[in-house]
Parts: sequence; C-alpha cells; structure tokens
Amino acid sequence: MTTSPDPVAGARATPDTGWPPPPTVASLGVRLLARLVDAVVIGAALIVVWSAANLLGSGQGLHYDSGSGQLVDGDPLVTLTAKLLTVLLLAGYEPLLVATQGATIGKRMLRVRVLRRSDGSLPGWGPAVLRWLVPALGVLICGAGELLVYASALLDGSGYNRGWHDRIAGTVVVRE
Amino acid sequence: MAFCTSCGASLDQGHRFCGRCGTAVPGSAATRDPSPADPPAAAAVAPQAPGSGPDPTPRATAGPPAPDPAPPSPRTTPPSPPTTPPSPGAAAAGTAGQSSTARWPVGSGPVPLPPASPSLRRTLLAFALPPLMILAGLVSAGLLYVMSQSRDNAVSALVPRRVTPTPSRAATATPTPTATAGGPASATTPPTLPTTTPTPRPSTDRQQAEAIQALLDQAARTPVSATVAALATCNRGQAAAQDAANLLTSAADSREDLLGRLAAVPVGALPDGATLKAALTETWTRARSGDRAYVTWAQGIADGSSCNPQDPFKLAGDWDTAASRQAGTQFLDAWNTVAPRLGLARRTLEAL
Repeated sequence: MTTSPDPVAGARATPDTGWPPPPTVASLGVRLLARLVDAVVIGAALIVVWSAANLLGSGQGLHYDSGSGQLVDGDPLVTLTAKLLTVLLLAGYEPLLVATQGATIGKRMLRVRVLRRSDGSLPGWGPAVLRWLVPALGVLICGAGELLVYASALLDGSGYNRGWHDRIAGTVVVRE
Repeated sequence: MAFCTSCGASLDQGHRFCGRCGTAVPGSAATRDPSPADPPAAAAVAPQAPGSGPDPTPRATAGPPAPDPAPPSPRTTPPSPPTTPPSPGAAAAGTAGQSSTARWPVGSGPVPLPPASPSLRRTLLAFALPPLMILAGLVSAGLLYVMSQSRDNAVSALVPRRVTPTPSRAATATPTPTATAGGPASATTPPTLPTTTPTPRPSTDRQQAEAIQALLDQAARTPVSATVAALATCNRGQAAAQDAANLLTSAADSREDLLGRLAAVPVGALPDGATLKAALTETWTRARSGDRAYVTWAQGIADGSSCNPQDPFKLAGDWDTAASRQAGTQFLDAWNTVAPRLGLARRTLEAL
C-alpha cells in the first residue's frame, strides 16, 4: 500500500475506502428555497440597475415625462448599459457561480452544492452552462417550461433527485 | 502519432486538447490542476493498476464541456475497472492526484436520500406543481393588484391612467356616460319629460322664445374657460385646484339643471324651433360633459397628482368644449335670425 492520504482527509476517511464520507443528496424543498432566494437576489439587482439607470439620465428610451408633459428621449448609452447588465445578470449569474463555486448565493445560504455526478468535483463551465441552459430553454415554452424542468427532479426515483438539467449536465446537488 | 482517446482523431504533437472533440489529451498538461505535485502522483498511480490498460494516465480531468456523466467515460477512467470502484489504492490516487475537489471515487456517488416515495405520486406532483406555481403566481399578482387598487372603486378602476379618485370625484364621474350620450337629458329629470306637458306652458312663438331666453340669461356662464386656462399653467397650488374643481362642479351642475328645464320648454310655435332646441341641448350637453372631465382633471391635481396639461381628462374636456362651441354657433345662427323678429336680443357665443 503506497497510499499517503493527507492527514485531514485521513482523519475523516472511513477505514475501508480512504475517501472522506460522501455528502448527502439535497432534498428538493431546500433546492426550491434556494431558487427562491436566487430569484430575490436577481430581482433586487435588477431593481438597483434600473433605478440607477433612471437616475443617471433615464434608462428608458423614448418616453413621456410627466414633469414637462413632453416626450423625451433617454440617454441611449445608459439604456444600453442597463440592458446589457440585465442580460448579464439573467444569463451569467447562475453559470458563473455554479461553475466556479458550485453554488449560487441562494444555494450557499441553504448549504447545497452542485457537483459533478462522476466524481463530485466542481462542475466547471460546460456543465454549469448546460445546467442553466436547459431551464432557460424551458422558459420559451409558454414561459413555464423551466418549472417543469425543476419539478422533473421529482421524476427521479433513484434517490439522487436529479432533474433533466442535472442529467444533461451530469451533475448532482448535495447537501454540505 | 497519438490518437484521441475519445473520438480517435489523430493528435498533433504538443496539443493539450483534441482538435475535433475537445477531449483533454492524456499525459498532456491539460489537467484541471497542473500543480507541481501532479506528475509524481500520476506516477504513483501507474503501479497501482497494472492490469487496467496500457495507458495509466487517463485520470479524471475536467477539460472542456464534459456533459456525459456515465461512469466509464474515457476521460474519467479510474485506475481500476468501474465495477470495483473504491479500492483503497484508487481512492488514494483520487485524493492525491485525481482532483483536489473530487468528493467521491468515480463510480461511487453521494449518499442517496431515503428510497424514493411511490413514483406515481411523485410523477403526479411533478406535473401538478408547475401549473400550481403559475396559479399561485397569478393569484398573488392579482392580490397585489387589488390591494394597490383598494382605494379605487369599480368605476374609477376602469378609467384609464393616473386615477386616484376620491368619492366626490367618482360620484361626478358616474353620470358622464349619459352626458356623452348626447341625449336630451331626459333621464335626469323624468317628471318633466317634454311630451308630458306640451300645452299648459307658453304656446305662442313669443312666449316660447322668452322661455328659452330666460334659460339663456340663467346660463350666464361661470368662468370655466378662464379657470381651466389658469389651472393649465400648472403654477397653482393644490388648494387652487380644489377651488377650481368645486367651481367646475357647480358649472356642470348648472348645465344639468338647464338641460332639464330646456327639455320641458315647448318649441312647437317657434320657427325652426326644433333646430333651436336640439342645438342648444347639444351645446349644454357637451359643455356639461366637458366640465365633468375638467372636474376629474382638477380633482386629480387637488389630490396630489402632478399637473399635466396633456392629461387625458383635460384633453377630453377641451374636446367637449370645442364641440359645445360648435353646437352653440349653430344655435346662435338660428336664434339671431329668430329673436330680432320677436323683439328679443341677439346673443353672442360668450353668453352661452
């Protein structure tokens, strides 16, 4: 036996494998709560972005100004910036954090983590983007397909609670 | 010449990823954690799995997109066959060199939750939840809307844009449908419908003209246009707006009264009497309607809305006022030809 596990891992390791005890699969209720927290976070960020845009010379395009009673045009640069930030927030938030941390802010708060199903390592960009893309495409179906994608974790009877997005991305959500 | 372990494409010397499928080239530096400790660890693996294949290096790597979670993935080949995953040696190799973040040996996994409950129940739940969540979202949005509108009544909720009505405003707004209908205002004063009392009233042309003239005298117009013009400058306060609203309300009420009495005036003996009466009725109906719209506008300012000269209610008032003046011109054309013949005074538009 040429094994030389590091002391910490060795301390936690179960004697027969040498691996630290594996985490437990996260329950769906906790995952739903994490989604809600993330929704609040993104919503708050969007409010901040657009409030700032309105303060900085109106993030709106052509609009009616009730003060002067006239149609006025907003600053196109501010509008464009606000729109870009919106897209960035909606499309970048989850993939970025899941790829690098394995958890968004909501998941972190509720102590769940997205890991690769194969070896439990961090997902990385490919799976993280895929995992976000599947529900994002679901939005195109009556704006509600993403709910079915998230609920599809219920269809996994294996005990791993992997939704379609988890299966396609090759991930599993565990409790820390 | 090396070949890709995933798709079999030939690999150029020194490349770290397959040019065709993006798979990391085994033995290259394209591992996720190219730490200095890596090569020794890789070397340590080789003796552990002598029978696993000619190439001991295909360790788990997280190169470019690797969506395939299947345990026997070419890029995640463990040193020992997947069927006997966590041998201590493999585990040690995993912790030491596979990846610093690997949490379990390939082929293993996290601790599953207790056995899944009956799958039929879960299936039903999975398909029932999305609609339920949509429903919940709609209901809560509706509740929020109702709560935000709680101060409004049903009438004002249908009125477009920036409506923060008070009871008085809503009450004045209610009759506008009958006003804009342009009818002879019979609904407001049912007891004095014209057909019911044609004869006991003035019967000669002179008497009938005098009856109309009496109404015209009474119609000494409240300074509606001046009030509206002053309010439209938007430099008056809320109190002034409240005064204007009160004044406009009384103006509208007085039109209402005049219309009711005009409806009772017989005009059968007057030349062109029907035209006269219809034109005057239209004049006052539209004037009343315009006044009501102005009231809504002024009351809004008095209640704290920002003053907007382009407010829809203000524009509606302007529209009705213009229509009233047009009908008034028609009436005067007829009146000013008839009145002198009967010894009565001519009138101007301002006197209407």
